[in-house]
Amino acid sequence: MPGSFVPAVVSRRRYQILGIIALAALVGAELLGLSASPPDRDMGHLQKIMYVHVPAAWSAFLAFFVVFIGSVLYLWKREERYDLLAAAAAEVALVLTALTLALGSIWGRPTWGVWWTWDPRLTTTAILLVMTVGYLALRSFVDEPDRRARWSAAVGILASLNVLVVYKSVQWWRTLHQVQSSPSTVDPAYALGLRLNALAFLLVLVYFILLRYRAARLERLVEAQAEARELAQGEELHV
Amino acid sequence: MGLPREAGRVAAVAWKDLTAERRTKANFNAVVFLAALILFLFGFALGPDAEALRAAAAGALWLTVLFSGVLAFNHSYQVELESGALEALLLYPGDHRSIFLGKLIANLVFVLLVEAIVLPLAAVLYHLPLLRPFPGLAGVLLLGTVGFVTLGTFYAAIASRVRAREVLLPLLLFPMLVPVLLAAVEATGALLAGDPMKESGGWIRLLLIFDVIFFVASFFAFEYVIEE
Amino acid sequence: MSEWRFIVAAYGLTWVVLVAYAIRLQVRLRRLERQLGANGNGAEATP
Repeated sequence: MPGSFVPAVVSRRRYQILGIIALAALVGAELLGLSASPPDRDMGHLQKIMYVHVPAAWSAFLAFFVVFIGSVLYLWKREERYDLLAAAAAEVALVLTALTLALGSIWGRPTWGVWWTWDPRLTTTAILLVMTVGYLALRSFVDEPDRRARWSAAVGILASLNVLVVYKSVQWWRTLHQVQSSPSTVDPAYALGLRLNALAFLLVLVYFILLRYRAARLERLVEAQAEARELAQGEELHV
Repeated sequence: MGLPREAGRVAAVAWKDLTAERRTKANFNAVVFLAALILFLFGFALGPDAEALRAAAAGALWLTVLFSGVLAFNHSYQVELESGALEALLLYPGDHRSIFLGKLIANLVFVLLVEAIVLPLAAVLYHLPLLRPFPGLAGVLLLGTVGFVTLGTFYAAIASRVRAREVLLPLLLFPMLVPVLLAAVEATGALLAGDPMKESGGWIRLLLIFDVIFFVASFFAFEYVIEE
Repeated sequence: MSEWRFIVAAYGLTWVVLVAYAIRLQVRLRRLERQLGANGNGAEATP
């Protein structure tokens, strides 16, 4: 039995409790953020989108960090749980990154007048999304668990490295072309709301990764059972 | 022990791949024709206006190299996978990374040869001045191609052994190529325009840095990818 | 006020995505637990 981060006694019901707490925290933080924030001088009420967009982006990047750590630890220790953790975090990161990009678009349209701009952060996030799709596609195409773990860990580490390089290169690309930078210095009036919403998103992130990690472990168990059954049937045939 | 022998192994792998390529030639010819075709298609897509063509030429040229070159990488492992030769290659004593270097050199020669044919053709089709910026342009092509081929050789080691290899290789490779593509296109564009702002030097330095980063990363990651 | 349209869209989208993903994961887990339980000892599945 491979080691796990979460003991088997943690039932789905306990996960559900965590999920309810996380979503309730999100409701509370959003209500507080929405009611307590005065209209921004430049953006008016549109500033309120910050409370979902920025926390979504932060938790997405945190999820990518988990993918990176899981990949490094797997190649170092060769324990399956690190691979499964990286896989779980990657799928959650994909969902949150897609959400971040969509929210950024919804925010950008009324403030900048465009759905998309070639700003370093936006572009890097989009590339990150594509690399995550590649990572998950690779995982789904390789059946052998050991191979899948090694290959996806290598791909995960290189992709993480690439994030920094893409960000830097797009930054140089844009500054050489002299175009606007993105608007984001947070006024103290919005800081508390932002912190609370970030905390609520962090809970949601933990909940998602734990749930997805458990699913990954159960999938491996189902796979192992199927292999054992096939083996047993094979032996029966030979006897 | 050590370096001379590894260098010999690298040369042997590269020589073997290039000889195989030279014997068949079919793959190389097909890739060159495809590259020429893509250049034509970009011409149609951009319209016949000489100014517009010249302005977009650097991007079109590099995308042509990417789209045609990507076909070569999977091929360089597939031949061995079909004949079971990769297992034999891995059984030899010594560092597996010399396989990576050998294949990298073979792929580099392959793509550079494609470029040697594509570049004059692009110059004709897109009305480009080739001789004036030539030494710098050749340097940019070499550096950009090294970055492209390094990552291509690495990802093909994975993708060529996977069910959906035709889709997976570009899906994994192209996002990684964004920094290299960006720097290569900017440097090429600046050089083709006569470099009035003197910005090509900065991009060439960046290209060199990217090459080093990606080479080191994939060189060390290769060990984990190739082992059985 | 047309700016509220964008705010409602942003919050609405966030909730749809988060709740949909949570449900998806729960359904997936339930299915896996059933599969494991059906294959004999579901020690891992039911604590």
